[in-house]
Order: sequence, then structure tokens, then C-alpha cells
Amino acid sequence: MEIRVLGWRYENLRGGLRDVSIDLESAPGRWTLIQMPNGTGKTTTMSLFRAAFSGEHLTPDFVRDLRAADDVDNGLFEVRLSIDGKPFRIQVRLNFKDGTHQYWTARSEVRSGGLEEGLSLPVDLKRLLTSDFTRLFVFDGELAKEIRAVGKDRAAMAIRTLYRLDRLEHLNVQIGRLVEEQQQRAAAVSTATERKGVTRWKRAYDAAVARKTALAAEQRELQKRRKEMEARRTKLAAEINERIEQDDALKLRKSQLDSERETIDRAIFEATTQGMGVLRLPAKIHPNVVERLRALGNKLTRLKLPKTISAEFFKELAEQPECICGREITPKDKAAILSRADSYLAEDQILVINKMKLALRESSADGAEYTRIATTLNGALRDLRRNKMAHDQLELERVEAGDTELERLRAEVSQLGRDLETSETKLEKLTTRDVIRQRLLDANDQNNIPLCDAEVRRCQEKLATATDTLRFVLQSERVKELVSTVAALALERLRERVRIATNAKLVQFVPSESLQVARIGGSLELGSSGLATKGGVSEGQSLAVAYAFLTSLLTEAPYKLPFIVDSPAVSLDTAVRREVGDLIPDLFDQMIMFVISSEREGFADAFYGRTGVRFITLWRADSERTEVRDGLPFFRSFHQVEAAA
Amino acid sequence: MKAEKGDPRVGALHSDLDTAVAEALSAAIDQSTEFKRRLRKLIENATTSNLGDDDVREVIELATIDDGLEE
Repeated sequence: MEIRVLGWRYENLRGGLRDVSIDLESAPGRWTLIQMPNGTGKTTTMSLFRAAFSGEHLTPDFVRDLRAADDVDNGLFEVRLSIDGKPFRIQVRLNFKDGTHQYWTARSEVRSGGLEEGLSLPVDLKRLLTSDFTRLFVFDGELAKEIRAVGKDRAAMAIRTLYRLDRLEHLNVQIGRLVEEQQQRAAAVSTATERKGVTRWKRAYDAAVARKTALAAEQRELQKRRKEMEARRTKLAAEINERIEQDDALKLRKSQLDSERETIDRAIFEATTQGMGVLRLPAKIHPNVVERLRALGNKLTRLKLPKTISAEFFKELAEQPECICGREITPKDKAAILSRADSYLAEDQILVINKMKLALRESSADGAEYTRIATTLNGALRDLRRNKMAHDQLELERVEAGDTELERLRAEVSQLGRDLETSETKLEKLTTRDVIRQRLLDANDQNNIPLCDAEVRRCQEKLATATDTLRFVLQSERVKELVSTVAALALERLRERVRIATNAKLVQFVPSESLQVARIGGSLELGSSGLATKGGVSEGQSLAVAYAFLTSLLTEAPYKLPFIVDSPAVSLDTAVRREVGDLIPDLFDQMIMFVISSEREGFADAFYGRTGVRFITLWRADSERTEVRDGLPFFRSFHQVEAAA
Repeated sequence: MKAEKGDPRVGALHSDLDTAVAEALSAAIDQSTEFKRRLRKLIENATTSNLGDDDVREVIELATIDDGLEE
């Protein structure tokens, strides 16, 4: 499906946009560069483009804020589109007095061709163009940050929606609905008593599903909050370090403590690894364990356990016509032998027990080994506590010397630690599958997801039995499970495909830096070493990553979308700008770029030699009037007009 | 509003989806060849158009389940 912007117009909007029209249809071009000085409505235009595509709700304050002047009560933003060659006109009608707005659409499918209320885009497109999704191609710098922000889930959402994997989720919803309908039909033909049972289990099932949804939302919220807190704690630690290092003496002591800490960490790691190894060999834990294991081995030998005759021997005997003593085995004897054969162990079980016996008798390990490792580990942990206290002391000294900012940072870290602990406990209670922990934490199907899940399944089975639809329910569950597996596997593959393409583009955009995406999870996770210590990624790098990701994502997608971007190069340094300016134009079938004059160098000038480019300049001639001028010569010389104004 | 299969942009999705379907179905050893064929088609259609309830129901009814679970 291909969507192109053919033009747009404003009526009575702020920034002097009283009656301004941009027409891209008369001289269609693949690229349109629109030069608009700050304050002439770039941000307004981007917001209204997003609204026109997604039909999102605009707040009354936002609407009122768009008012050109007190003498106007209504305003308008209209976009003209071509969707698979068919013309569409979308209007956002604004009422400044009461802060309301309405969407209207004119499309060729409507016989009259006139306007009708509402946003009437093709169903397929309407489903795609959510408010979040629209931000991917009506793009601003904020999204560049969000794509990399934890908890925002932008990257995975974009892949799922754009490559239509969300449709597989809809398929599972459709299956769920079919099950419900089947049960309703079955319940309608059952007796009154049966209907009572159906109603009861239906209510219990619905309540359990609602609870599970609420618990899952709570889990997401807690995880998001935890990630934010962890990120904040890392940032605070970096800030605290920075403040300590402002004092040369403290910096030297800190460096010594850091080096000591590395040694301690290594010792803890080694002792823990050895300890875990020893734990797998019970004889090495304690001399008493060795002694008891040997006693058990001896006891088994004394009792002649296991018995040397196996269950298989008696089962074979039962099939013989006569016993070893020559007596005939009657059917009654046969039944008796078979029923008692199970009192004997099978041959493979005997083999295992014999091996155990041998191992028990030969348990000759040094029972004190674990004690020695535990002593080393305890020593290292004591050193770690001392090291932490010494670190703490450094901070306290600086605080005592009057660093109030450090005092505030320390208090925040301490509060964060407590909040994280609370959050961990809540999450554990919500998610643990460990029966003992569930009991200790007082978990039940009202506050624990696995237990709630079990309750959902129990109610579903009861309901299915009551409506005699169990077979259909189980078949549906099997299909849903397979569809979910397919969606997960396909998402994984697409993520990897987009990741590789993103990294290939990053090499072209920023060849001098080893900026690479290590993983596309909910967000883009960068894998370049040392980024954290360098204070993270710069705004320009963030933008380069976002461009590389979005162009990789959108160019291979089954939808051809226009790419509308505000200030595409303003935060990039000139070298990266040139790379972006040279590379991204070829990646989209239509690009509309709002630029300011400072972006001409390195970015806009990359388009000067291309054919199929529209250069438009829009500026405020006076407080009431906005001028629009077409053409490259005016676009290039605009700074003189700007300076003169 | 079906996607054009000739459109090269649809390629990425189809090749990854095909591989994912093949992988998931090869692990479903309890299911019949007919069920697998129909489910593959259903998934392919689900990504390009709306599905009729009857098509979905027919595939569900082809799924094999462990009958012991019904007891």
C-alpha cells in the first residue's frame, strides 16, 4: 500500500498561518525541503500531520493554543493524500472557543465525493496508523531518544505493527471469540440446572481473566519502574564519582579502592565458582556428611539391598508353562506372580542403586574442603564490606567539606535502594512459581500471575465441561499456542534482519565510531563498548541510530509511507550530516523535510544537484501574513532575507 | 486492502514468516499434514486480510488434541 502527501493547508493557525497552502501535486517531487524559520509553525505542522493520520484526541488546551488571534473562533488543517492512487482529503477542524476538534474526510469511494464526519481511511491503514506508529514516519527528535529509552517499547512495537505480526494477535483474539460463541450456543440448549453451572463458571472465568490482565499490567508497570530506577541509580553513581574526582586526594584514594575492589570481586567470583562445584559433591561439604554417606552404603550392603532378583525375572517366569521346579504354572499362579512382580525393582533401577552403593562406599573426599572455601569467601565478603565503607567514607568526607549536592545525591541513592527493594519484593510476589516462596509471600490467585493462570485454566476447563465444548476449547488452545509461537519466531527473525540492516547503515553514517545495535528488545540496545563511561550517547549519535533504524525498518516494510521530518540534521555534526544527507534520500519514496537555514550546510545542499526536489521557503512577512516562495535560488539565499528581517 | 505479493517489500515478511511457520509446525509432531497445510494458509492470509470465522473454525476442528485431557 502506498501513501503520498499531495499537499496541505492552514486556516487561522498560530505562527501567521492564517491562509497558507502548500501544493505538492502541481510539481510532484520525491523530496520536498521546506525552509521555515523558528516560530513559523514547524512543530504545529508536525503535530497536526500526526493528528490527521492517526485521528488522535487533541486536548482542549492544545487546540486553544493553535488560535491565530482573538478575532477568530475556528481554524483548520487539511491534508491531501493519495492512497494507492486514490485521492483522500482529511480535515482537522478546530473550535478555539470550546477547545474541541473534529475530523472530516473526503474520499473518492463516496459517490458524492463530499466531506463526511470522522476519519475514514481504509481499514487496513486505520489499524496501522495509531498515534504511536505515526510518530515513526512523522518523525521528530524526541522519538530518537524514546526509541532508545527503556520501557517505551517503541522498537518492538514498530516491527510488530509494520510487518503485520499484530494481525496474528488478532487471529488469536478471533479464535477466543469463536470459543465464546460456541459456548454461548451450547449453553442456550442446555437445561436450567446446567445453565446455572455454565453461568457460574463463566463468571468465575471472566473474573479470573480480568484479574490476570490487571496483574500483567501491574507487572509491566513494576518492571518499567524498576528499569527506570536502575538507570537513575547508574546515572547517580556516575554523578557521585564525578564529584569525588573533583578532589585530587580523594580521587587518588578512590582509584586505590577501585583497584582493590577489582581484586576482591575476582576472589569472590573464584570462591563462589569453587563453592558451587563442591556443592555438587555432597561428600565434600562436611566430614559428617562423608561419615553418614559411608554408613548408608554399608547399611545397604548389610541388608543386601537392592534385591538381586528383578521384576523382569518374575514377569518372564509368569509367561512360562512350568516353574523351574517342574510344577505347572496355572492361570491363578500367573496372576499372583504378575501382581507381586511389581514389589521388585526393575533391572535399570537395580543398576542405579548398585552404582550408588559403590559410590557411597568409596566416598573418600575431604569433607573440610567446603569449609575452607566458605572461609575464603567470608573473608572476601568482609573485604568487600570494608571496601564499601571506605568508599562511603570518601563521600562523607566530601559532604562534610560542604558538598551539599553530593549529600542530596547520596540521599537519593539511598531512597532508590529502598524503593528498588520494595519493587523487587512486589515483583517476586507477583511472578514467582516457586511453591515455597509463594507460601512465604502469602501469594494466591489474586496476587500471583502463575497461580492466577492456573485458576484461569481451571475455570476454563470447568466452563468447557459445563457447556460440553471442552474438545473445541482444547483444540483452540492448541491453535492459539502455535500461532503465538509463529509470531514470536517471526518477530525474532525480523528483529535480527532490521538489526543487521541498521548496523550496516550505522557504519555508513558514523564510520569513525563503533556505534552498533547489539539487540532490538523493547528498545534499541547499543553494544558499543565504553559508551556508559563516556557518559552515554550524544544527541547526534542518538539521531543517527534512529535514522539507521527507521530507514531499515520502513524501507523493507509492506507499506510505502511518506517520511516527514522536522529539523532532520540540526543536532548532527557536519560530517554525519553529510552522510545522512547523502544516504537517506534514496531510502524513501517521498520525503518532506522541514529545515531551518542552518541545516542547509551539509544536509540541504546534498539535494541541490538532485532532480525531483521541491524547495519551498515559508516565512512570516509581518505579524499577520506568511509568505510562501517556491524554488532553489530563493531557498539558498533565504538567510539574507532572514537577516534583513 | 491486500498487500501485493509482487511487491518486493512484502518479501521480508513472507520469508521470515514462512521460516517461522515451518519451524513451529515441524515441532508439532502430533498434528496432521492437512492441519499443518491449512494453518500455514490461515496464518499467511491473516497477515494480509480479514479472515472469515468459518475458515478459522475449520482449522481449529482439524487440530489434534490429547483425548485423555477431556476426561
